[in-house]
Amino acid sequence: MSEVASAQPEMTPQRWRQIRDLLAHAIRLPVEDRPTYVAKVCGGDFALRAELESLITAHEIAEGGAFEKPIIDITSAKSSDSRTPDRLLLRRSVRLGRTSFIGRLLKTPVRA
Amino acid sequence: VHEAYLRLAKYSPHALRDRKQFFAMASGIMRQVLVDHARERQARKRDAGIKVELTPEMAPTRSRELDLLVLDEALGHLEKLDPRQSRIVQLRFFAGLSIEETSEVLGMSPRTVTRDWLTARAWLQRQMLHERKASSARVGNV
Repeated sequence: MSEVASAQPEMTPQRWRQIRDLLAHAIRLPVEDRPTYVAKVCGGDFALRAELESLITAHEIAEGGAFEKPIIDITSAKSSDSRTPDRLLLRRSVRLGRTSFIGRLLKTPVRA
Repeated sequence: VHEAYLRLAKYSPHALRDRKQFFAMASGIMRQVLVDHARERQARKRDAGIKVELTPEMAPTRSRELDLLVLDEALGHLEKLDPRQSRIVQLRFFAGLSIEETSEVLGMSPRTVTRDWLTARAWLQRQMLHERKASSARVGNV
């Protein structure tokens, strides 16, 4: 997969919608079919092709990566400096959040 | 998270009556609290100058904080391209809602939420990879 060329057109909402729809279709395909699809839909538009390829690569990297879990799960993961006061406070808050904050947001009816 | 509670409590019940608004506000507050926290920690480290010797064990935390700030900026950019996708990321990533819960809150089909989530995630991931590469290049030039 190639890098996004510096001569990429400016990303506008309209262009993003076009790329997003192509990307959404591409990532539903089996990995081995994606290059053929990209070649077919992009034709000679190399800027679009580079854009789409880099996003497909990013999608593959993102699978099972940091975005798989909500940020509160990531911050509560054990880390090397987990014993610093800051980290302990954050982890305690996060633990509380997991059972209390998010739980309440989901389960407690909002009162008028 | 405690701070998120306090900030949320400042809003009147009327402001939180609508479920969609409620979750939008809660996830926004969560995002702001975590980003503020990351920014403060980064500033403290910067202020500490060369007093602390960096060890390899410290690197993951440092990069994760940087990622959170980069993510916040990238999310701001995404908001300009597609506000709905930005809201979905905020609900999924900062409030921890599932696809089904997000679709319920936003009144969208789970299929559309999945499409918007996956493509937004790829876009954000790419922004973060670019920033990481740029950051490595900056460190390499020091």
